[in-house]
Amino acid sequence: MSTYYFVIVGHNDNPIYEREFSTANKEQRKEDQRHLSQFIAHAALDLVDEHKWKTANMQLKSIDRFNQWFVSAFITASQIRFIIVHDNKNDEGIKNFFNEMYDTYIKHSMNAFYKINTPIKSVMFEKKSDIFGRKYLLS
Amino acid sequence: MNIEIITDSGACPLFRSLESQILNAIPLDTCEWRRTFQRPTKHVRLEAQAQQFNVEPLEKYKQGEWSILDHPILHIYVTECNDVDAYKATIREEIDAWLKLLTSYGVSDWMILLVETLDIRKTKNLLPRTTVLDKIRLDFGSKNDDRCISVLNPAKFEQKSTESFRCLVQRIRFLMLTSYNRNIAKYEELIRSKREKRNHDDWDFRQYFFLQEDLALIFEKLELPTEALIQYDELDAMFSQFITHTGFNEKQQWLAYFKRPLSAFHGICLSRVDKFEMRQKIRSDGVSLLEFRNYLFERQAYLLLTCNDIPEIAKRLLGFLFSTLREVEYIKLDCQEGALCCWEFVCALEVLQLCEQAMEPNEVTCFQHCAPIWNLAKDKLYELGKLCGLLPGCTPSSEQLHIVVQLSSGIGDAPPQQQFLQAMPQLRDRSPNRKPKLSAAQQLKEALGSNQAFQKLYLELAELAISTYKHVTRLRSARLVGLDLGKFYCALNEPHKAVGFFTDLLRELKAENWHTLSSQTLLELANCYRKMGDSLAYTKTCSSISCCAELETLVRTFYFDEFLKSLKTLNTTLSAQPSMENANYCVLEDHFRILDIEVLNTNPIIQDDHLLVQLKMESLYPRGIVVECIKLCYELHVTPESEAALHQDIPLKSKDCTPRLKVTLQLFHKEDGSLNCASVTSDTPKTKQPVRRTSSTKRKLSPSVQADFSNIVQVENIALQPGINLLELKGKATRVGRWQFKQVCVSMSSLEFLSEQLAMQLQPPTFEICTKPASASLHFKTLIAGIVQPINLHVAGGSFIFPSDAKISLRCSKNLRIRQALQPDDPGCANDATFESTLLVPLLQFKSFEERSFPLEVLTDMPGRKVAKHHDHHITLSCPWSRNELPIPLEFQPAMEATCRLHTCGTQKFLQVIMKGLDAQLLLHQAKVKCDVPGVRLQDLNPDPQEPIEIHKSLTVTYLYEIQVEPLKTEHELPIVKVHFVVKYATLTQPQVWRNYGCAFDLVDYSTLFKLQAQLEPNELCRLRTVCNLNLKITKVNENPYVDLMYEVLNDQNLWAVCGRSAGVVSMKDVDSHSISLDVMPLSTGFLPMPSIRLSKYTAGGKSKTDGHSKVHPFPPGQVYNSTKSMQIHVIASVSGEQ
Repeated sequence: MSTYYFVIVGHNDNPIYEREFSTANKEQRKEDQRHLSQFIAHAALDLVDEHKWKTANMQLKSIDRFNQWFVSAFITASQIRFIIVHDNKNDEGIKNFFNEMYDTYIKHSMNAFYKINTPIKSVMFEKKSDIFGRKYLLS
Repeated sequence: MNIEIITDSGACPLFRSLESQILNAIPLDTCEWRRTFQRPTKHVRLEAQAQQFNVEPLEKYKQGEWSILDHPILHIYVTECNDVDAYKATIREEIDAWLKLLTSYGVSDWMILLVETLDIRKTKNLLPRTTVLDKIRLDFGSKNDDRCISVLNPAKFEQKSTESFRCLVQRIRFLMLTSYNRNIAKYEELIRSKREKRNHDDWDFRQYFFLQEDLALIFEKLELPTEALIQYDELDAMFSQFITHTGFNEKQQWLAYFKRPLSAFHGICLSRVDKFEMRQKIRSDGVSLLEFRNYLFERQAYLLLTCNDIPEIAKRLLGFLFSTLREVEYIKLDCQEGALCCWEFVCALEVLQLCEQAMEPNEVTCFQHCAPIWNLAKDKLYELGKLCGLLPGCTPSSEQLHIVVQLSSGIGDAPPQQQFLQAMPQLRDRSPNRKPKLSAAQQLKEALGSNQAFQKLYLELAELAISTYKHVTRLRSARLVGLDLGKFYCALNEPHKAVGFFTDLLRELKAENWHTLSSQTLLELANCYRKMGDSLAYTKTCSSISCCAELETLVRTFYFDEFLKSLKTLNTTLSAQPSMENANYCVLEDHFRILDIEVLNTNPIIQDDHLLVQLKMESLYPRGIVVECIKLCYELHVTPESEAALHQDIPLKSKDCTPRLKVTLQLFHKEDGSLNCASVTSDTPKTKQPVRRTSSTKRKLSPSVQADFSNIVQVENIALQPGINLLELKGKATRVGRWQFKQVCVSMSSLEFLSEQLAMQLQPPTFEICTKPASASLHFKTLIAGIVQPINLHVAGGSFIFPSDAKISLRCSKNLRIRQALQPDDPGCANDATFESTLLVPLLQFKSFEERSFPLEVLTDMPGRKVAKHHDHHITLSCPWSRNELPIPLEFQPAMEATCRLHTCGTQKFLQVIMKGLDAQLLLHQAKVKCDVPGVRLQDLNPDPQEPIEIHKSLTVTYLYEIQVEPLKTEHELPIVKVHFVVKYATLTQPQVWRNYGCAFDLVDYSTLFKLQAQLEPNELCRLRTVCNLNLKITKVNENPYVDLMYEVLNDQNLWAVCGRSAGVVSMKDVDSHSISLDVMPLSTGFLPMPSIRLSKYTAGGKSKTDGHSKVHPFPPGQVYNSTKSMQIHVIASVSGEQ
């Protein structure tokens, strides 16, 4: 069983897209844990900001541990932060997922009607993240 | 422990004496190790142990089952044979056999040591042919010359041996390293081959483990901890891989060794005295997975500690713990509930204790890794506490006590420990006075022992986690830990301690729009406030919760009801509470959303008008709610400079206040100068740097700034439905200016929901309130004196509020009167008495902004003057809106003018009165003259009865009177006669209203004194240029005192020429008339006027010299009558012959 909590964080440290991927059944998933993942992602922002200056890579890899949780991060050229909180080591999958989501995010942000830093509400985006999540994270 | 086996088959007793010396000397100095495969050169310190030559290890070596740890690294053959013959006899063969044996095992690390007991120089043979050493070298050292060495027996030659001994030790060191190079390479090869067989059925991880660990140990001995660590890391990774990847198939039989139930779960111990105790145990009777893992980590930690890389230990800990847990899970080990938590806790604390002693306070790297470990320890303790009923408010049941006992035994006692201080020089104790810390295991056991101890430890750990996170500036994480701590305090029934943690977290989450999380925190906070009994804060929090869209409806409605319930009681409790200032302020945005503000009034809004504002507001409450008051305040609009600059060239429209984009034209030119591309670009200036690190946000949870609510629009007692509400707010526009909405305040009971300053978020519309002053003015055309003139009083109310009995008073200057305009059929119309000097105009029911005109009439007396001159008057207004009086100047033109002339006909005198019409059309009637002077009679010569005469501009009317003065009344008695002329006049519109016009004339010189007669002879005809006679006759008409008269001919030089004298003086003394003859000549033909004669009074110059000159004074016109003044003379051309 593995769960992934994916969040895109905007420039004002605000979440603009959240998504959860889990192999567990809905009953197994505890609501409490979902909040915990979010809390962990939020708490890791300090560390993401610290790490992003240390490397030229967009992939910041696994940057934080919070008990059994890993926090992996990715930072776009425009300093939008992608964060995944996960309890399974899956570096390669996460890397691919980030790359694909980056692609998707860029396309979405080029939409003239989308304002940077506002929550992403797009069926297409949702669908894409679903596909990539299943492909790279849950497989 | 580096085992160095030196085998001596020849001279054992001799070597024994040397052995210890050599072994002690080896580690005394470092030696440069040149390594193969381009590995870096290193200075190492070697140690050696000696043992007797033994074939057994060589046997193993040959079979490939050797360990580098046990393998003899150098074989030394020691001999003290100094006699060449003896050597040849026995030793040589022995060596040969020894070497052959070694070679058969593939060992090439050997050395032959010749101990020389004889001092060659002391012997008699000064030149020995060959020494034993030479022989040995010749026999065995053909290629390995350096492997044969001799040394002077230090027992015998103490002084001289030093040099040779040093050489020996150096050589041994060198050979050892050479051997290591070779053997390590070979050993690595062996490891590799073993590893490749790892999937074979009979492969055993444990064997492999020891194989590779031996290498690690060798590296460790050679002071290469990093390389040793690599070996351990490889083993670690391999083990994990086995478990996670192949753990499920049963091929790996060896796995069964590790599948022991976890009856004991000791944590790691980083300061064991016997570091290899576990190694022995693994080899002999097997260990549990945990024990094995512990051992591995301890070894790694030890090596890292040797490298002085303590942060790395901390960094590795979490990975170690969780991969181990995962492994336990994979191979499905049975263990007691809580056992793993205990294990994790002890491990974490052990590492933390190490770090605590090792790290510098300003060295952040270690703290960075420690912070999550503190947190982990705290969480694990909490789990255990939960399991054992140690949480606040719980008492352990008997089962739970049983669990505690079981766990405590499983935790075990800490093994005997080395003092860090002694073991590691780089560690120091920060405060020597501190009590020696309990070991991790002891601490845990103590904490599990009682609720108090548990709570104390938990709080301590949490505080440490928070402070460490803060120290490494991971404030968000610190707040997250704070959330746990807050919850714990809440459970401890110390909610006041928890509030700070929750609000800190909440503030940040809100500022960063993590709504789900902030709503969760709100729930905690509500719980906290309820426990504290802070009903105000509780009410506010309930309200916030009920507005959280992220929460379930059930939760929201529950808190909504709580909110309403609490709100009702708030009034009574609030006064009793010494609450903070502004504590009743709430953030409006959490409960309502202001979508739009629109001013409904048309622009501009006049002062004192009602201001109507439509507020579009979304209520986030789950149900409808009644709000007592919604206020929206506005403040004077301040235009930012930039905006002003932006708007400069754009006319500002009243409603269009959104900032405009700066659009600029961009032209791209080709190289040759022609246009390539044209575009417009709009770049919005970057308001904020997108990249920044927010440590803490400034946003407050409750607004403390209340804007100035003196200018507001509001609505009271209104029900707000969930969702969008359209509200109409009203207010009075009291003050003038350009205004901007500032803040919204919603009042519910004692709560005030204050919005952020509106100017920051949405662009609130600005509006203008202006005022219009009241004004009064008089409107009129050219005013004419003497007749009724209409004027208009115009009153514009402006924004002034008029009392119902307001009046305007008009006060006229002297001779000016005023009345309200009357209809022509009004009886008072014709009555001039209706005019008054002051008039009060009532402003009945006069409303603001009303404009009204009052028709008025003014009348001024006709001035009794002869000349037409305008007449200045003024009317002073007193208005209710002003304390100052307002004088308005009026200028009247006279309606007509009267002049008089005196005419003479001989002795008769006539008075002509000329009435000249001016602007007005008037009727004149009953003209009269009056003269009160006795003896002066004026005879009316005008036709009688006089009909009214119409007079208008440029029309003159003349009246004629003859003055008859009694002769006695000479001018000497009456130099001036006053005559009054009176005429009635009326306007054409009101012909029945007659007013009087009077004018006084002064008559002077009204009697004729002299008559002048001129006659030209020949009488009938005058010819051009013919001298004629001008006969002048002066007659005295009335007695007068003038005696000497002077006459002058004043002729036109072109018409007449006077021949001879033209002037003369005559005396009228005693004579009544004089005749004078003068010669004149006409110079022009036609009817020429008679040359005019002037008569003047003459005063002859006196006898005295001072007054010697004569004086001439002219007569006023009425005193001399020239009877021939206008006579004309016909002059005809002269006779042709004369010309």
